[in-house]
Amino acid sequence: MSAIAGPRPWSRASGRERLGTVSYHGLMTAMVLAYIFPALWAVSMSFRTDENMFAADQLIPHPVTLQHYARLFEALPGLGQYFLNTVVIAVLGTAGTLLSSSLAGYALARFQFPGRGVLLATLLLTLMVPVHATLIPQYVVFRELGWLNSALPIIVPLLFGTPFASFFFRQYFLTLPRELEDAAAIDGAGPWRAFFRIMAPLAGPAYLALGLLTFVSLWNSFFINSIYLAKQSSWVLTQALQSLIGRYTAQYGAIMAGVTLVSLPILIGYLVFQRWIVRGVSMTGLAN
Amino acid sequence: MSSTPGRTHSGRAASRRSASLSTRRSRTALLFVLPQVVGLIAFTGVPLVASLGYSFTHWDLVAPAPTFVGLDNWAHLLSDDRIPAVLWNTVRFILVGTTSLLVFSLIAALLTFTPRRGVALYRAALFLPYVLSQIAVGVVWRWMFNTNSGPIAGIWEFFGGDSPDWLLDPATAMPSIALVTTWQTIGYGMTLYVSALQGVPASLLEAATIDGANRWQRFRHVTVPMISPTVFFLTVTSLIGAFQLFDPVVAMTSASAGPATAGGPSNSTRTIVLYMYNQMFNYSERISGLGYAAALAWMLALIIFLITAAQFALSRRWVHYDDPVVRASRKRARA
Amino acid sequence: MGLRRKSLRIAGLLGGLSLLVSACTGAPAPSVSGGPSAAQPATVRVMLWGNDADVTSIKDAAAGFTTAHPEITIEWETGDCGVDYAACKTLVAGGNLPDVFVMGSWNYFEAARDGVTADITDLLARSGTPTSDFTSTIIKGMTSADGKLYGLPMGYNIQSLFYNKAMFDKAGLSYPAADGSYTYDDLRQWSAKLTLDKAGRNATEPGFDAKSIKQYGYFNFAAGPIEPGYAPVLAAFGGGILGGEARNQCTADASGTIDGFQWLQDLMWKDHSAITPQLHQEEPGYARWVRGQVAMQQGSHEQVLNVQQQNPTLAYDMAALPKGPAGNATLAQIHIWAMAQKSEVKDAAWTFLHYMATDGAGKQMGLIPAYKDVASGPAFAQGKGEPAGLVEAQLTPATWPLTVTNLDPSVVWSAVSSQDGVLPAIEDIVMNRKTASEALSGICAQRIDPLLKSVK
Repeated sequence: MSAIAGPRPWSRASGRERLGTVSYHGLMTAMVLAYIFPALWAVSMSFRTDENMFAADQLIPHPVTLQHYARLFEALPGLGQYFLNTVVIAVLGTAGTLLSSSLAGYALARFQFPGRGVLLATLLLTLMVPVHATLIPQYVVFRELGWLNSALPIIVPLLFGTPFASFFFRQYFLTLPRELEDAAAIDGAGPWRAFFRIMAPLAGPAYLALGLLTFVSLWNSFFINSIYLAKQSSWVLTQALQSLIGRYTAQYGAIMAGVTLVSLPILIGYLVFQRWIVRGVSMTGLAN
Repeated sequence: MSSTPGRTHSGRAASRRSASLSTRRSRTALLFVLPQVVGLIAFTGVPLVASLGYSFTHWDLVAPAPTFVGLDNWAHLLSDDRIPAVLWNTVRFILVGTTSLLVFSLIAALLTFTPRRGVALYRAALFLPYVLSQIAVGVVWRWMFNTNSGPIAGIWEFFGGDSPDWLLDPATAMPSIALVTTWQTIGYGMTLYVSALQGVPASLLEAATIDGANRWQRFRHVTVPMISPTVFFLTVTSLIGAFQLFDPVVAMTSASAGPATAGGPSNSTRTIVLYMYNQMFNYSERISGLGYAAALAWMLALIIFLITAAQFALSRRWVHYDDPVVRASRKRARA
Repeated sequence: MGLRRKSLRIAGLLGGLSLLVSACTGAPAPSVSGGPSAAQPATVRVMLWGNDADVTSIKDAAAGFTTAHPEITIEWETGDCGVDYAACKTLVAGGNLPDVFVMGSWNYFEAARDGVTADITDLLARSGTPTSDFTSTIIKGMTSADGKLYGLPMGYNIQSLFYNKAMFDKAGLSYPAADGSYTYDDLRQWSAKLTLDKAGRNATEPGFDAKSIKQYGYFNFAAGPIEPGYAPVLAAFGGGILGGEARNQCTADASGTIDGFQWLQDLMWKDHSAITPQLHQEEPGYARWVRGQVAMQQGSHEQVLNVQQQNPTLAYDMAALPKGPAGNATLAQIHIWAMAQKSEVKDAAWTFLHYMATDGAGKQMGLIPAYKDVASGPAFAQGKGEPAGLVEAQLTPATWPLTVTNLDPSVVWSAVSSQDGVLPAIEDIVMNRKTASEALSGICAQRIDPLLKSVK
C-alpha cells in the first residue's frame, strides 16, 4: 500500500502496547508542559493584573483580567490594518519563496548544467555574509528602484526565492528516488510536467514544513520591516507591539496580550496544517 | 576489449543522443533556476559585491562618499585584539547551542513522528516557542533566569547547587543565551526533521524488519541515511546562523535597549556580528564605519565558508543522496 | 564558454557596484535661499519615535499647526532615528532622511558634528524668537562651543524622587522636602527604615532577616545599570564618569564618582534596602514602586503616567533629589526638534520645527516644555492628576548649578559607556563583585583614556 513511512496502524492492542501508550503520553505530557512553560508564562502575563504581573505563583492568573486586551486595542486602533499588512507580506512572501526556490532547488538536485556548482556556492555565500553588512547597499538598490517607504523591498525579493529555501529544496529533492522521474520520462513527460505532476506533490512535506517556517519568520520579523515600513499605515504587527515599549518602561500586560493575539493565528494554522501534512503524505503515497 | 564494432557504433549514437538530451535538459535547468538567479543578482548579489567593495574603503555612513583606503581595513583585522575574544564567545555559543539544537530537535521529531492520537497537539506545543515573538522571549526569559523566584535557579538549587547569576554572570551568560535559543528553535528543527522522516519509504523499513533488523538497527541503517541530507542541511545552516548570533544577545543583555550597550556582562556575550554592528553604527574610532564592518563581515564569511566546505567534504562519508551524479563522483572518489 | 559567461556576470556585478558608489555620493544639499518660501505648498516628512502615547501626544500638539499653515502637508513617519543614531545613519546613507525628526540630548552633538542636522542659528535669529525664551540651562547646553544651535528643545525630563506616602506615614517618617533640602544620608536612613522583612522588622532593627524582605526602601535605575540612574547620584557626590567643559575628561576614578557608586552599592548590598540587579531582573524596580512594594524611587515624569495606568489609587508624591556632599544635583535629558541638513523643503521644515518648539510647546512626549513659561501653565504644572511636589521636584532642579545634562559635545559617551568602557566596572559594582574603589581605581589611565584617544 503506502510506500511512504508511517507505522502500520495497530491491528490489535496488546496489554504491553497499551502500557507503552500510557507511559508515552504520560512522559510526553510532562515534558511538553515543562518545555512550553515559558510560553504559557507569557500568555498568563496577559491575563494578570499589573499588581501580579511578575509574581511567581501566577501561572494560572488569579484574579483574571482582560484589561490589557482592552488597553491593547485602545493604544493601537490600527491593529486591523497592521494585521492585514502582515498577512499580505507573509502570504505573498511564502508563496513566492516556495515556488521559485523549489524550482531552483529541484534543478540543483537533478539537472546537470553549467554553473551548477557556482550557483550553489553563491547561494550559500549569501547566507554567510551577515545581513547588516549588506543592509546599506541593499537600501540604496531599493532607493534607486523607488521602492522606499513601501512593502516592495520586503515582498519582491522573496518572489524570486531565497537562498536558504533553495538550498533546503535541493537537499530534499536529493532524498527522493529518481526512478519516478525516469518512469515519467519514459512515458513522454517533459521535465516541467515531471516536476509539477510528480516531484512537487511528492515533496509535499517539504513544502509544508518550509512554508510554515517561512511564514512564521515573516510574521515575526521586525528589523527589516522597521527599516522600510516607516508610515504607520503600512506597519506590521511586530512594529505595533514594539511601540508599546518606552525607553525605560514598558506596558508588559498589553505587550503580552499583543504577543498572544499575534501568535494565535499561527498556532491555529499549525494545527490545521498538521492534518494536511499527514493526509498529504498518504495521498502522495504512490499506490503501487 | 571484446566489444564488436557494431556495439561501439550504437554506443556512440546513444551518447550523441544523450548529449543533445543533456543540452536540452541543461537549457530547461536554466529556466528552472532563472527566478532565483535573477533575484540573487538583483537583490542580493549587487549588495553582496558592494559590501566586499566597501571593505576597501572608509565610510562612516554620513560622509558624502566612501574613501578608498586599499587594504587598511583588512590589515587592521590582524591587529584588532578584540577579535579573538568575540570569536571565542561565538564558539562558546556554538558548543552548547548548535549541538543541543541538532540533537534535541531530532529527539523531538522522533517522539512526535509516529501518528498516534494526541501527537499533533504535542508537535504544536513543541512548535509554540518558535512562534512566540522575540519581544516576549526577552521579557519572559529574563524573568526565568532571575535568582530570586526564577524556575531555573529553583531547579538548580533543588539539586543542591548554589545558583549562579545566569545572565548577570560572565561565566554563565553565554550558556544561558544558548539555552534560550535552543528552546526557541527546537520547533524549527523538529519541523524539518519530521518532513524528512516522512520521506523515508515504509517499504525500506519493512524490508529491514523482514531481514531481522531491530528498532535501533532500522533507525541507524535505514532512517539515518535516508534523512541524512536534511541533517546535513540543518547542520550547515544552523552553524551559519550560530556564527551570526545577534538578536538574542541584544534582547537578553542590553542595559539600555539596543545593540550599543549589549554584549555584557564584561563582554562575555559580545559576538562577532554584534561587534561588527557596533563598529558599523555605534563606535567612532578611526577605523569604525561600514568599511571595517564589511571587512569583519567578509572575514566571518570566509571562516564560515571554510567550515562549510569542510562539512561538504566530510558529508561524502555520511550523507546519502539518491543522485547518480553524486553517487558516481563518490564512487570515483573511492576508487 | 563557461569562463566567458562567468566573467560577464562578474562584469555586470561590478557595474552595479560602481552605480552604487556613485549613488551614494548623492546630490549636493539644496540651499535655503533658493528654496520655496513658506507660503508655497510643501510636504514635510516628520519622523517620530517613542511609545504609542508619545506619538499621539506629538500629533495632537501639531493639530494647531495644520490649521495655521494649510499650505504645508505633514507626512508622519515612525522610526528610530533620534532615539538610536544608528537608524539615522541608515537613512542618511540611503538618502532617505526625513525633513524633521526628534533627536535626543545623547546624540544631538553627534548628528551636528556629522552634518546630519541643519544649523538653525540664523533661522532662529531671523524668526524673532530670542534664545532667552527657552529654559537657559537647556538652550545653553545645546549651544555648541562656536555658538551654534542644531535644533530647538521639545522639552526635557528631570530625575526626581518619587515616594509612597502611606509607607512614610506607617514608619512615622516625615516626607522628603519637595525642594530637595535633605541629604543622601537621610535618604539612606529612610531607605533602611522603610525596608521590612516578613516579621515586620525594618533593616535597622536587630534580627532583621535580609532573606525574607517584603518591602524595599529604594530603587534606582543604576541597577540596570543605566546612566539616568547613577548620573544624578554621582553629580551630587561631586563626581561623574566624564568631566570638563567639553565632557571629554575621564573622572571615573575621582573620589566623588567612587563615593557615589559606593553609596548605591551600600544600599543594595550592605543595608539590603535597595533593589539589586537580580531583583530588577525579576521585576523592574519602577514597577515594584508603582504597585506599592518599594517606598522610594528615583525616576522621571513618566512615572506619573505609569501610576495613572497601573495603580491610580497609589498615594504618592515627588520631591527634588537630595543634597550630596557637593550639593543638589540631577540629570536632564532633552528631546530636540531638528531638521535635516539636506532637506529640500527647509523653509517649510523650519516653519514646522519652530512652531512645535514655541507656539505648539507643551504636552509633547510627557516632557517638561522648555519654552517660556509654558511649563508652569496648564500644559504641565497645572495638569490634571499631577502630584503636589511637581513644580519644586521637576522645574527648579533644572536651574541647580550641579545639574548635568547627558549632552555629549565631544561625542565620546557611546564609547565610554560601552562594554569597552566603563560598563563592566559598573556591573561589578552593582553586582557586588567589587567595591566601587576596587572597580574604578586606575580605570581612567588603563581603559578610558586610551579609548578617548582612539575616538576621532
